[in-house]
Amino acid sequence: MAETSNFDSSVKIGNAVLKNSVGVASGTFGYGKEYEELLDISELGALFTKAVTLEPRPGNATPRIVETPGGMLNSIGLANVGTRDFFTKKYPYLRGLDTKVFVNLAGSQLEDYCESLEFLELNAPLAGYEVNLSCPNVKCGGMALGTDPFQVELVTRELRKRTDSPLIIKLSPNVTDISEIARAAEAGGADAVSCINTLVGMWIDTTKKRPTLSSITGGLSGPAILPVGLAAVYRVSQVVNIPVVGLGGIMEPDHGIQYLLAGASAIQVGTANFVDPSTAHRVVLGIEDYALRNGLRSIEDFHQFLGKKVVF
Amino acid sequence: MKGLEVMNQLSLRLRQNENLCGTYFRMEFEWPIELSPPVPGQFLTLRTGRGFVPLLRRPFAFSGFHPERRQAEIIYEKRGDGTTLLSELSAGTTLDVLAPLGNTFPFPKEGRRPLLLAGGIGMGPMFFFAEQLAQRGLNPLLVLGSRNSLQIPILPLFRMVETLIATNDGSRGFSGTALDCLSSYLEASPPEELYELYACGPYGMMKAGSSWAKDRNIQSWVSMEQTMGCAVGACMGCVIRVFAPQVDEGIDDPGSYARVCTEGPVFSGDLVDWEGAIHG
Repeated sequence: MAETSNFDSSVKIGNAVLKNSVGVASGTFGYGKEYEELLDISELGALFTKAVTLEPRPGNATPRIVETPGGMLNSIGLANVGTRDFFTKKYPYLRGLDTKVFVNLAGSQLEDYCESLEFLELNAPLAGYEVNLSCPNVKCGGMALGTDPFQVELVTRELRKRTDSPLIIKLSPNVTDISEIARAAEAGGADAVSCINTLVGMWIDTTKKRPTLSSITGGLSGPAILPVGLAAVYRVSQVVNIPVVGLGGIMEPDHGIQYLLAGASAIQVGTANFVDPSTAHRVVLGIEDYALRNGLRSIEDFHQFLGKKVVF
Repeated sequence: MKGLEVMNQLSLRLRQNENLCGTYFRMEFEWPIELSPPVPGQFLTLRTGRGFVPLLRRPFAFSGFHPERRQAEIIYEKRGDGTTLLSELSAGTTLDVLAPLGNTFPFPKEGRRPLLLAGGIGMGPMFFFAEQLAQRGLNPLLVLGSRNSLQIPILPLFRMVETLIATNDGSRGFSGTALDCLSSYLEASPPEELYELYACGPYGMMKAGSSWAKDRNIQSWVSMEQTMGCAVGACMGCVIRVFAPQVDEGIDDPGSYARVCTEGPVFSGDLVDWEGAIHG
């Protein structure tokens, strides 16, 4: 394994150093423990928790999931235990993990985000935060906040005042120009942006003649959205100078490599965790193997091929 | 030896995949020597192919375990793209299986006769449980309800376990639902006999069974179904409404949700909020 030393797989986001570029996406990996028997979590560069809101949320009515061609729609509605129970029930396990844990924060309004973050900074500090400004399945906040550059900058700026830990803003693809939102996050002081969250989608039960999901529309994920995520990462990485975390439809190592080539500094495996829990493990190995075969010495080396600063 | 509670991603060799009757198939596959056998009530998920369509793993309840050849089995219905692909797999194929998942059917309290209500494809786990109960001398009564005689298999189990058959169209056995069949059978039983009810099948059947049991002060257990994402408790997709705090997640508002994959699939019938929208 002497060759391994030729490739430095680590990634820096803010003041956190991830051992490699591969994480697992929020909402697809619970709070880690759910998958501990299926995957060696210490192999991961990062773990992004299920979204946490200030108060507990029971989530949306059922059905919450429907499979679509090459993908799935979900409308979980941010079901979660809330920050206080996160601290008592999830944090003790998460803090012991040998990976960088990012808490995914969600909310309905600026004050919720601030209060959640303050509580977690004080009681449950982990590697950093991924701020979900882009959930398509909650009535107010979430995506509404994340589609307005002014709001994105404001929320980022307020959260930045409250933490020195890495702050990653998760972007919605359900906008006209995602790079504009990414620039707003950067201007507000974000350490990185992650893109993309799910795409708004719909599925109709033709027997019942009504939408399959209780919430009518949901968020589309899975391999069907891979090209959308790649294009978003490519465009965003052209216009910001902070790391981009790429996600959307990664099922195979090749998909993760495509994100890195598109400009991502780190990636997240999401829906694939449901399909094959060993995906993240395979992607870690596949990236390393690709780097060695292609003489790439770092994740930054992946970025040399598609160029930077292309104007759209 | 790994404990029951440990789930595994397994590559298992398919040994048999045959049409059982009508649209129902039975699949038997090798079970790893180092794992405890699956228990009635538990389920697995598997990939129906290697591609991305269909994407998600499919959940199936265990329908039996054969210690002499160390093989486990499921009974499934061919009804969509995934199960059609599954029905086409031949012996020798390697299956990508996540198992064992979920909880188990509790044994009845002492002195209570177990009544097993199986509706359609819900027969699989009920056969498994009936066999286990019979082996322990607990004298189960199995009531198997189906649409018509074509959907009723021929199994050696029926010689071991007292079995009643009901069909909706009256083409075999009792004409009507499995619950009506059970109810009329019990009218002839001694009134002092005590029971516990177990049901797996269509939502309507389990709802009616649960309500029937409640009216008679009988404890009921139902094996619930819901579309699943991860099947390991992470995604919060496969929930049903229940009248109790969710066991793990600690959301303690009344009218909460429980995950079928983790808190279930077997629930006390009293715990399920049958009026809450489950299948939309």
